[in-house]
Amino acid sequence: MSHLPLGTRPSFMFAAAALVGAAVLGASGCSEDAPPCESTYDYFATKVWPVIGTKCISCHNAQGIAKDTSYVLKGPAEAGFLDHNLAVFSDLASFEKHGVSQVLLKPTMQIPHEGQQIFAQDSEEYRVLEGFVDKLKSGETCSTAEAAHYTGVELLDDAATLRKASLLLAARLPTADETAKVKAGGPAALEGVLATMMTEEPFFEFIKRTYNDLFLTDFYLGNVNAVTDALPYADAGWYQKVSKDDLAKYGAANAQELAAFTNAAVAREPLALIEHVVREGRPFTDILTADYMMVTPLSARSFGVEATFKNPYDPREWAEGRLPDVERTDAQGKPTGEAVPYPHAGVLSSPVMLVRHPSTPTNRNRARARKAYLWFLGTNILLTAEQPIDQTVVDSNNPTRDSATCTVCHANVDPVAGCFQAFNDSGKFVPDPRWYTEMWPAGFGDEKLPLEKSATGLPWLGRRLSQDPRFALSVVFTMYKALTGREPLIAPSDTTDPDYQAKFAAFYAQADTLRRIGEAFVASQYDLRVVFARLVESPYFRATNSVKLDDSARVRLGEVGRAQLLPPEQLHDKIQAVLGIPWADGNRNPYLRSQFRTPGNLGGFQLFYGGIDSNSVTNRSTSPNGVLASVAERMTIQMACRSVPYDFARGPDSRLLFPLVELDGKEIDPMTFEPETEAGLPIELAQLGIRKSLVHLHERILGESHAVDDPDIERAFTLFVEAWRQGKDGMKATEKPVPADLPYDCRVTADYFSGAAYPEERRVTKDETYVIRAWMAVVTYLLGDYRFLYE
Amino acid sequence: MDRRDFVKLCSLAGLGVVSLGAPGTIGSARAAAPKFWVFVNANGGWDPTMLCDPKGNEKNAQGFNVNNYAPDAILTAGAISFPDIGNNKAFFERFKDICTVLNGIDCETNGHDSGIRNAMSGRLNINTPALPALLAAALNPALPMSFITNGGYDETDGNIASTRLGGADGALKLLIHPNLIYVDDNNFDASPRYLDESSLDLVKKAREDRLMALQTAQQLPRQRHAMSMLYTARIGMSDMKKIQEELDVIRTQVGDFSKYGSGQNLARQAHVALAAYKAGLTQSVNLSVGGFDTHSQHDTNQQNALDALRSGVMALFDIAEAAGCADEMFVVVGSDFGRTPKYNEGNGKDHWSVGSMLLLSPHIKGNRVIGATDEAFAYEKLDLDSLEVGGSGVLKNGHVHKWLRGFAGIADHPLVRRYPISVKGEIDLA
Repeated sequence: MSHLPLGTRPSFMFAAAALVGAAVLGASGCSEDAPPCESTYDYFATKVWPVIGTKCISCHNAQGIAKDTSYVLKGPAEAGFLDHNLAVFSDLASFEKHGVSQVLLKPTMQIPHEGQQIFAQDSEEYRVLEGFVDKLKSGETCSTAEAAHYTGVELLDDAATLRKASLLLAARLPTADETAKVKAGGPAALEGVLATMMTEEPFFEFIKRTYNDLFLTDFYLGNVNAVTDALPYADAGWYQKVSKDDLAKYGAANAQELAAFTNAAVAREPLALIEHVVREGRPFTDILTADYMMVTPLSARSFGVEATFKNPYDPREWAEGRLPDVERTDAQGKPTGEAVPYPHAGVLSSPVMLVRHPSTPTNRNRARARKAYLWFLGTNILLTAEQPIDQTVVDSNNPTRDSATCTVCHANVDPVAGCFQAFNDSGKFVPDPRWYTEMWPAGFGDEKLPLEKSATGLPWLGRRLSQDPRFALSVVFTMYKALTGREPLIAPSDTTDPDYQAKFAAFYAQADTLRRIGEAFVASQYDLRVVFARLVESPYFRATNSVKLDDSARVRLGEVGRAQLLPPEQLHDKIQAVLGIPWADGNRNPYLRSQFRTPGNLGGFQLFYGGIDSNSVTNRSTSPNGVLASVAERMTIQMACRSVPYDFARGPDSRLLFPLVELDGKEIDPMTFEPETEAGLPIELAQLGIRKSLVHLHERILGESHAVDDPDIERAFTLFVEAWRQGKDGMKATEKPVPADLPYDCRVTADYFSGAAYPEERRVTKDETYVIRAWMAVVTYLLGDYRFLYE
Repeated sequence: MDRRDFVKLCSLAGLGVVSLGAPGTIGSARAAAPKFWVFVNANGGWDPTMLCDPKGNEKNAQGFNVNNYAPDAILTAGAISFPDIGNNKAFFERFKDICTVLNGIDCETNGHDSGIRNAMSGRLNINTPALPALLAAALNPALPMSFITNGGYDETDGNIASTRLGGADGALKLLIHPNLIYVDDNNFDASPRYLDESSLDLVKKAREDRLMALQTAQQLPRQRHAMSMLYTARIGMSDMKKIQEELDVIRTQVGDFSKYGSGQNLARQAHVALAAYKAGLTQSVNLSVGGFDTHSQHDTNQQNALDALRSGVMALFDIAEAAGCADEMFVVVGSDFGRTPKYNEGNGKDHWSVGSMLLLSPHIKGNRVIGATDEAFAYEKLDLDSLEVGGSGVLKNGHVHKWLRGFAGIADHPLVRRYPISVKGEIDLA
């Protein structure tokens, strides 16, 4: 079994591992022997930043009046702003006059400062900065334990963490062998089992779904024509001229189906590239630097790409390929005969990405640039300029270049937009672009794109984005949201807020953990699996409860814990993993995810359950509402009705929900457990059997371990018995008696997947003792539980 | 256990329902008339000069024409001016008596995200709840679908669950009756069931007990919050049956929506929203229509989008009248910002940080225009007290929202006070 190159394990893992069974995190310092200490980073983040973030940044920012000094700070909207600011501030603090640091001299006007005096030498602010300078001078090496952020938090144990991770990343329950390994081997074994799970197909589906939530390129699945929109290149519509023989080779019933296969391949091209990079174990930076694209045999023909396939007729096989060279034209638009290579730059240059995110003559690729910042640098550039602007008072002829209200965004966005200049509004490659001289020059950060590289701006940009420290953080942010359903926090800025300290502590705890994960990601040569492994270990994934909290602690730990309403696709996976059959309609079309052969067709309840269509609905619902609850309700009822008889129809050795129960040395079928005699007297042995079955159901459906006399088992037992009693009474009624037959939609006469008819003795169509329906009531109850619908 | 009992029980147990870190959010705001709030989001940035702030095609002092239509195409309905294009005339003549036009609003941004956020919340800050979300959370958080959204700016910041209902089709019917294998429209009682109803009642009771036990034992706020959200969502499911009845009643009276042309989409949104309101499930709704980001071929594309908007709003009132609740409704129509005062090279118009807003309701004075722009479509300063042009104030979305919050009776609600509006001065639109 492979192990991930995880580097140093987070300190909270040690703390949790030491508390077997209780797993409550406690505060800890640098080591067990040393008194608690505070690292320079912690001191800067929690004490210095609140001072300079309010007293200095209004001038010392990229557009402020101190923008040309060496002390330029970044605001909380930029990923990794604390790291940047710490570096800048530390550098400045190292300069001294008469043994006193500049960061103390300037704001107190002991040496000239254009911003005048900011605070006095006897102020609290001065004392804080003085403490920072002392720490720098002392050269302390203290590293505050990460667990200190999460004091009092109770974590899932390793086996429970495995179950949760397995359901989310591998769309299945862990095997008994995997669970046993993790129970015996602890965190190291968990790491190994996770590594294997991250080689399975559902993991790649998870990654693609995660990035589609950003790219929204699945808009082009199904009935939207990706081929014609994204392909001005070659014989895009080749599939209309294919012979019947060839149609059969492609596995298509007709040209329309072949067109749909081709369309899906074009639409999925950027997501396929991401999958390919991860599957092949390549550095994740390749998603921005790959000098190739991904094609199937079908999309290769549409793109005119030459690629090598194992089976040139397999619509599902992907291979690397390069788009054909583009012929240069002269000023009059006439072809010159000179071929220019297509400037591949991973997903940045993907035809379907560019067409899905088009530009306009006045937008000039700025929207594309803004998304590059958001997706690959974790920075919402618009938040860096939350201050109001007033266009009517802008007196410049070129405000995006000259007006401070505009340059705050445009100085960052426009250079990156310029790197897209070789692609026109609809995404077509133009080898000799004529860019706008009045805009900020193409480039990135302080670096300008050389003029001779105007046609290859995207590969140039891709290399720089991928090497920027914010890239690693952006990936961590994206995966954090995918695993928790929450956006990472942004540092609070209102220091007058009574909850400021607690809110900042919440932000800083999360930022610190995500930063460390980012560092591990970089150290692993950008192995995406490391990000998942680290996130799974973190309290944001594992926290299950805490000690009693006061008001401040409630704010501080406001983001911690397993409280994600499962997105529809993952609920679909969980249902199938737990029950063995999916929630689908009579034609086997899933209700909560798109259809397998026609992925453009969403599940019937997918949008109602908070999903997206990558078109008009692009944000997932993360909170339940009445409609969503109704979807869940229908699912619980329908799936209990279907899965309980289906499980009883399985052979005793392959039961998932109702394995035989050992009672008095015999193995008894739970289908026979009538809890009482006709006279209403308890049947002790059957009642014990029911309780034992309930223990198994709680374990399988909810991941909870209980004793047979646990209150949760008692609650479910009461439900079973009362439902059974009511049903039995109903069957005896003279008027409208409850039938012995199961509802027709719940009867089992054939294998769900193959459709092969079961022999008569295996069929489950009747329920003359009402035991099956009592079990259905219990399973309905459990499927609707918080711990089934949430992870 | 009904919702009121649940809320009481939670209070006794020290458990908040729905609210996250905001004590006292349950029903502590006073009930305010109007009763139902509708926010129509014109997404992409509309052009007020083609709607309610007309300029015409004469060259201004800066040497350009704002519009392509002639000055004599500018008509009036009462105090409201509009260009005689599209269905403006029908729109304003119908609504002039209940319509307040706010022109010359300083939108403070020309970015889409922040623009629609500011228009629908009165603040530029990220994570500010849209006003309909605040209204739902402050006035009626326990309604099962207190805030219905069809898109537009619908941020809730976790204060209330938003609901997407979609169209009124067969899927909705199955959700309204989750225990039916299928719905037999001819003989509803004969519709086959999965579980006996008595069993289902037992299941629901067991679930309530379990969720309460879980929540009582839970300390982490995120999980407690999630549990209360699940309970609140689930407890109102049965109310959804009422929607179906109201949908049918309204449809019978309004007839085929095809008469609304390009406004059909808004009409469908309004149909479901008003049915939910009539069923007693909803406090506020976001309706959404797009197509306004007309960077090229502005006149044609903008007019198409505005026609769809106006037809849709007329449909909204038709449906509300059919449902008998037009008098209970307050409608806010807004957009990200305005369009530039001159055309670009592609005959398009780009983003411009000056815009307008429409308020339609019998609950406020109509037939008036507040605020103004000059011939180059820059805002004019106002006296914020008298609302007359010529003072030193600048009308902003924040002013309108400050007033709306006060008018709705939620301004002092603890939840609302977490999102203060920072504009200086106040206006009175009553």
